[in-house]
Amino acid sequence: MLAAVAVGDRQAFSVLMKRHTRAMTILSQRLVGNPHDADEVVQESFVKAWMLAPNWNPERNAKFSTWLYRVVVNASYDRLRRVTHLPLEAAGDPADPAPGGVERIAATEVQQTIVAAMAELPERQRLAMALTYFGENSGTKVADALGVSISALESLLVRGKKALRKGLARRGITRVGDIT
Amino acid sequence: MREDDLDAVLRAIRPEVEVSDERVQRLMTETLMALPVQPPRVLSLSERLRRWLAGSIELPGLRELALPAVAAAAVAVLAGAGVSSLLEMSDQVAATTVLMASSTLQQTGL
Repeated sequence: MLAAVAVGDRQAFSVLMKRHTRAMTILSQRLVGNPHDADEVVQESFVKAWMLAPNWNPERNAKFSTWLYRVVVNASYDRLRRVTHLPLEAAGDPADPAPGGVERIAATEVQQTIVAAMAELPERQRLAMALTYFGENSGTKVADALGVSISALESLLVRGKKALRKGLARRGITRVGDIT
Repeated sequence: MREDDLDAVLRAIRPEVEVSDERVQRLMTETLMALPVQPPRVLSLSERLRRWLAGSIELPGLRELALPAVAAAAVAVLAGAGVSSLLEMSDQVAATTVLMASSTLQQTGL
């Protein structure tokens, strides 16, 4: 499939996108928090995959899915960093007045705090954490997507959670009650 | 915070996200429309030499080089450490020849 994409076969690329678009969109939306940015992240990531396809070497490079997940996760975090630095006027609509709106905003703030702390993790830990907690897949599938064994994934998650706890502690969050 | 607590929080905050078939289709269509022309493939030196040896590509700059050195480089790239025995050279001489040939090849922009 990649060989066909590497020589500019758009039909083959379409099949590749069909295979990955939904999972990548869900993952990105859970990270960036809104469908608009998630769609842009996914589109940018696929265009990047298309441009790099001619030089893709399956013997030398990581699995395609691993690489694509990495691109989507990193692009999502880049998008979050950019949004964080937007001026106040660009922040969007005020609090949702509908029933449950306040709870939803609180939940979003908790999520944003944790996602921001996750952004500081080393890339492999961040990727393992993002796929495990924000992706759609089982542990086996996450390990497969990352091209690592289950035990290696577990090791990444243990180190990732340890680092995340430290990151949250730096934000003054040391107990579950601090964020829920 | 204990690891189990963090695990529970991480699982609890995962928002439900529905991605409709229409959205997937729109994303795919828009992405396909946005695809630029792919850049030409940049072949590695070893790949170019492999193709040259197989006769599938021309490397015009080779005419300006001493062929034994090019052959040594090609064999080295293809056969790895076996080059010295193939060319009946010492490892050191083979390595030097290969390095010089590779360097020359790269300098000629092949």
